[in-house]
Amino acid sequence: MDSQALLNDLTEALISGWAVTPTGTGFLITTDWTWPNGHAIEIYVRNVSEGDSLFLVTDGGELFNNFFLEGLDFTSETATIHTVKQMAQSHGTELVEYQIAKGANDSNLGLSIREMLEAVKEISFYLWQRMGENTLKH
Amino acid sequence: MKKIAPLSLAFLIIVFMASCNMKEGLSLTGKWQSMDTDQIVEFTRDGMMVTTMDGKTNQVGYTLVNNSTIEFFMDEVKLGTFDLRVDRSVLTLVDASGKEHKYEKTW
Repeated sequence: MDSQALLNDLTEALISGWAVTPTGTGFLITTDWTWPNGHAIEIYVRNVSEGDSLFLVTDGGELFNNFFLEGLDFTSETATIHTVKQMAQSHGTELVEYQIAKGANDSNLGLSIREMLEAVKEISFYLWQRMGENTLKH
Repeated sequence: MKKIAPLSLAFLIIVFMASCNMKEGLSLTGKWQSMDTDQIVEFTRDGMMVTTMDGKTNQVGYTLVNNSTIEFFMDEVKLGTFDLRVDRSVLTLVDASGKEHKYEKTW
């Protein structure tokens, strides 16, 4: 196998388990990446300006929801939230009202979805580790 | 002499108003009709852009960075920066990929 063939194989492997579902206002991207609880990570893409190619890419609040369902509420943990904000920003995303969010347009939508995925995966690992400290049960 | 004074006053008022307009810079306030689609875009005085197409309405914030750059945002999230041109009653927005979106002022 040459490097180009491997690259093609990788490209296929990286998104073969993904699904893109049109919604009334954009797209729901179902990935084969998972939350710490094993559920698939979904990315929400909302067209916020018809014809102007402006999109809002978010995790739909699922990052914090998943931990809340595990019995953990990080929203009052100032230091934790500060770290999450910094981690989100390191991937070009923002923490806004406990959603990870990023603006995008036609030319960088794919990249924005990838950055969102990297952000939520990394932050979920961090929160999972905090969960292990078992001090935040709500 | 009595006729010259009111004329001078009028001239000063005109010069003052013109200088005020120059200081205000570019204003997008009002409605714009897309020249390519049925989309109508309204820029409001309070910094919002309301777009309407096929009965659907969206609203995002905007900031004029300068007379040739506009930035759109939603909540605290920056959505994108467009190049901007206004030639008489035609507004042209150029997105990051270089695609042009043209609008004509409706009022």
